[in-house]
Amino acid sequence: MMSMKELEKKLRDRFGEGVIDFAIPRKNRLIIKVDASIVKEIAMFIKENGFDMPISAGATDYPKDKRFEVFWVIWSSIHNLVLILKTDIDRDNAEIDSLVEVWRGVQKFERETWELMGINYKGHPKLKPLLLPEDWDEGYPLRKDFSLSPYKV
Amino acid sequence: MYLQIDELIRFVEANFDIIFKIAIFPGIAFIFGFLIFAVWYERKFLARLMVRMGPVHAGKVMGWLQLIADAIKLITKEFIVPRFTLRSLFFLLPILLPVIPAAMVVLIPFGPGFILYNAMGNGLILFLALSTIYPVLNMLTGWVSNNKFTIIGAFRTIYLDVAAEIPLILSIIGVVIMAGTYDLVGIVEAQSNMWFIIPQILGFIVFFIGYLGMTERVPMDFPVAEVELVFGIKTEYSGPLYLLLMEADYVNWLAWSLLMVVLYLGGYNGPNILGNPVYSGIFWTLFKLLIVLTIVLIIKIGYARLRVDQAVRMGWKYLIPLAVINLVLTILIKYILNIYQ
Amino acid sequence: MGIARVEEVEELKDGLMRVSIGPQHPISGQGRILVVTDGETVYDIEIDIGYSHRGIEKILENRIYIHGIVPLERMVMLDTSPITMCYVRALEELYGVEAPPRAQYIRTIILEMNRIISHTYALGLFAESAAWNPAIFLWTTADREPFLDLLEMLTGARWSYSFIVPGGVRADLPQGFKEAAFEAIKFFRERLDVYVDSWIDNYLFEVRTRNVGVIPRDKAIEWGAAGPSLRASGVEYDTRKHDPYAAYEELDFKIITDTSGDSYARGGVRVKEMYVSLDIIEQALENIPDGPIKRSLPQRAPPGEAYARVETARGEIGMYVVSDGKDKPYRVKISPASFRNIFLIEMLPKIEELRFADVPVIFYSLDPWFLDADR
Repeated sequence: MMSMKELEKKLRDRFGEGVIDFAIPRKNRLIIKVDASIVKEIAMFIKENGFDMPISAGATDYPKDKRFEVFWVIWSSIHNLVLILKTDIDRDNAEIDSLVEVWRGVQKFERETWELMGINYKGHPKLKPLLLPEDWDEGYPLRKDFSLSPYKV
Repeated sequence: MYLQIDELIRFVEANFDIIFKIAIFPGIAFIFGFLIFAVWYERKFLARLMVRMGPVHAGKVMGWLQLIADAIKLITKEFIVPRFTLRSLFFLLPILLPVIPAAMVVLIPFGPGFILYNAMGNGLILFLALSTIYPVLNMLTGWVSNNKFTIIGAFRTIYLDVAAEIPLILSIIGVVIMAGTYDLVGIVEAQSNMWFIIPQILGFIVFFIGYLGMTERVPMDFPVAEVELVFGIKTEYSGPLYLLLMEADYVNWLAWSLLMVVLYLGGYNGPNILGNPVYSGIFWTLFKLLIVLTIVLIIKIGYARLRVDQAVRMGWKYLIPLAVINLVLTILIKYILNIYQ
Repeated sequence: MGIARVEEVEELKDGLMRVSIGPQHPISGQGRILVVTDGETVYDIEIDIGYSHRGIEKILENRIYIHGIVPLERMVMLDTSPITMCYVRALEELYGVEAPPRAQYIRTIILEMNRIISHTYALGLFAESAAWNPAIFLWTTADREPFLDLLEMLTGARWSYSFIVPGGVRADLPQGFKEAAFEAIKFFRERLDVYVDSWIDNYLFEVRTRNVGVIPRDKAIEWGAAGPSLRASGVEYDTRKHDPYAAYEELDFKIITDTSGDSYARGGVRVKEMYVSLDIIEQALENIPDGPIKRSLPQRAPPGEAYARVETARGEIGMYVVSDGKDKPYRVKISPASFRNIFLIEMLPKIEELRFADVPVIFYSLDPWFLDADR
């Protein structure tokens, strides 16, 4: 059992500048914000430290700051902690490494985010449409600039 | 013209017996009447066990006219035939299928001396010979429908046949040895003291499971497995052809149930409560038939369906050895009895 | 609009066929199970969802918080209150408040009743998929009625209660609720005993479901299984214990696990969970404190983000709510339990030999709910 202070120290020692933020907002919750280029190594490091069950993955659109904030949510069965791993990517060039090789369970979540938000996950084995109809060609629904109202009549 | 009607009346009077048997009982009218009864009975009985009502409206008494309404509905529907297949075979099979079990029914003795066709004393062999055609035709209905689900259903029909038929025949041989004849009337007469179910109890277990297989009843009803195969081999059949296939299914059930009554449950033997031995015999046959049907329906509610490989494994690993043990025991008993006589 | 994209389908070897237990099928639900098989052995399974995708996440971005509860209920129709509970929990985390204790107890009662309602329905479907007649399905659907009536007495609706709101619950327990609830619990306990007797201990049912679809423990964790499917593989994880909410911290119950990980275990875990739920409802009804049932909250939530988890009948649902200070959420990300569970079946043909007839059995043992997965 490792306390979160130790985890923070280990992370910062290993990755230095890559770890942008490490916050403990309340009991059992951990939010780590990292740099986009090293997200895969940090993910492997975190998995070795006991965070083994993927729960969720997705992204938030911040059009004003011209960024996407991509996140993965992992639970640790050893520490009983929920970790939210976040990173920022550029909105116009939305690409990020896929974490499928680290945690197999995020595969479908990343596929859904690709489809609804247009973020390309490099290295994902199967980026095929999942939720939307086959003949959908009107853009990415979850982005903020996709408006629900004008179903042009 | 009077001459011709005269001749007709004389012909009917001379052959009244045969014409009555073919047309009314146990011939055409009986089979149709049984169909209506069996479908109604199954629907109503199962419904009550499932906390439902079953047919209620059509026909004031428990909704029995519902079946006639459904039959009329099915007959007036469109003939839909799949495209890339042998149309003639597609139409031919549902016409052939109900005929075969009906031919099996005519061999059964319903009362002492009351049998439609005695097959010169070889009724049992003719019955079994006819029954082996049925699964093959069933499989063909699955093949001719040109559909992935029906093909899988057709494979399963073959598996079912392989699993169920051989133990069945082995167990029947036990009965034949005990009765000493292939004649169905003779087998019933041999049970006048004791029904064969008691000395042949092992054989009866094998026969019962094989019977469930041949009539495609739970737990061996996987060719029409609604869960994975939409409707199995009968998926592409709709309208009047589906009605014919359903009839074939129920007449097959009738034929095998009657065989069980004749082979193991004493046939028409029973106390003479209607005065006339023939009428009493018919009554007892039908009564025992009803009990068999009810037991099969209760099993339908209470149990899940076997998987194909499990059924084949059970048939070959357990049922065949059991039937062989039964045969050996029967031969021993017969030998010992013969020595004492 | 536009031409349908042609799906690139890989060529199959000779003798194999791709069967689509598709949207038009007696047992598939609103989704498609594509099975590559040669008639009996299964080589590959693929699940196709999206047939009932409604875009609830986007809808919630355009509704003020209290109005957002209603579309959320339509996400899953069977047990609607855990999902609204998750949203409300995330909101209460953002606001930094807790609901009053009496409201927490009432929430617990509703959540556990929902769990029972959902489990009986799911178990009926599971029995039907193991190729039963609809007998068990009809019995279990009929036996949910006492709980549906109780919830109607409390909230006014049978399945879409809109009862758990940020700050508490909307109304108090009516008179006569306690007595009616105890009677319903007694009745249901007897019915559960009947089910276990006639169906769980049934030889043919065991033959169909034992050792079918075994999910080993490490694979269950790696693939992110949830709920009874996870607990049946030996992982002791229940959000009610590991991340307590409502009144669970003060109630006494245990987590049901099983080690075999096959379909029979998954069904068995659900049945035992129903017994546990009945105990929890009894405890909650006996120990419920007095007090207010709701506190009023301001319409605008403070900016921040929160991740809340609640245990639905199918598993754990997680909601990640980001707020920027307005009265509508900026982003809501819902990770439903079925989304994690449905795809477990895709990995099974690679680790064990499956038969075609096993596919519905395994699929329904995972308690899939396509509406849940699609949102």
